[in-house]
Amino acid sequence: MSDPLVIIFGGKTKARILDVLLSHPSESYHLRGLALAAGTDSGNTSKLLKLLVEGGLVLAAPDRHSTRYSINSRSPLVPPLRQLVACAGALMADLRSVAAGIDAAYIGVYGSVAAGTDDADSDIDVLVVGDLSVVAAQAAFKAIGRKHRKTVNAVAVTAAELAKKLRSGAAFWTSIADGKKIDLKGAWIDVASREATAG
Amino acid sequence: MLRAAKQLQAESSAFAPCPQDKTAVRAWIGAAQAKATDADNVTVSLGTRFEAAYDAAFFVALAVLNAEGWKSRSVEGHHGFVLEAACAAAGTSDASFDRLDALRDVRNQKYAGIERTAADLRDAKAALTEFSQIAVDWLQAKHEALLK
Repeated sequence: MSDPLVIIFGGKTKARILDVLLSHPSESYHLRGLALAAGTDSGNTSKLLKLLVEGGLVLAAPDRHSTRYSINSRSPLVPPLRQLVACAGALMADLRSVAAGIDAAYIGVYGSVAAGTDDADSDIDVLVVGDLSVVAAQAAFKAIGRKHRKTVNAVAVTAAELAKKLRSGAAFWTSIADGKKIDLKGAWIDVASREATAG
Repeated sequence: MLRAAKQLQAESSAFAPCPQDKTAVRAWIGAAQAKATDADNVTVSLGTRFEAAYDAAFFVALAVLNAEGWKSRSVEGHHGFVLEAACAAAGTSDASFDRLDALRDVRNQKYAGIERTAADLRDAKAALTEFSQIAVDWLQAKHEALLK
């Protein structure tokens, strides 16, 4: 399957470097470290970083005999780009890949990652609507958490239970329902419209 | 790739070396069997039964670690370290560890007010059975004297 970020950014190196930098806004990287994290070669990464620094998207800070690069969080372009990466980056692609193998009507990311207010320490909150246990849902995303060095917290609920909880006004579930979500499998709008019809 | 106790000790000071203790290993295995029985007790709540299944797995993990010459230290996240090191020692798959570690996560969700379901209990008991079979087989193969 084509990588959406490669299509959008018009190149694999650019997509991977921006994915790493935008996904880890509080981290800075030496050239080699960034190339390693992005899976790109140092030569192309160096050329691209020069352009990104000139364009104001990336900051270059001297560090002894080297330079450290980080995303420029003050750039007005960074928040929407972070949202883009949150929806289409490597982490979401991996989450979608796992979600595709789970027998569930809906799976989505909610919480700070979906809202774009996450930081380096934020967990990834995942909602699963289907007939599986929280244990199974939680276990399914463990490998992704290890790969991306993130904690994934999954909650699972059957469609009938979700409807019941929303009707009862349970704060935890209504906050999920009302908050932003990134769909991984199925569409929240379909779940919400079913609940509205049922209600 | 699961991290062994030695690596977790280096990374997080999660463990300290300790002598093998036959009495403790047998006590943990016995306690694990009692907790596994509690997990089947239909007269108590799902939450209590789930906790019992988790405790049983954790006791088995402690027995494995002692057999390897390690004891757990009370650092943040030490339950997760114990389960990972025990799975690494006993040679479970990453997926098997993930199922076990998921019990720990779900156990901790009780503090967020999320209820355990019959499906959670079923999967908890399955993860316990899978891990304890591998761990006890490993103990018998590698440290048989500790079980006698």
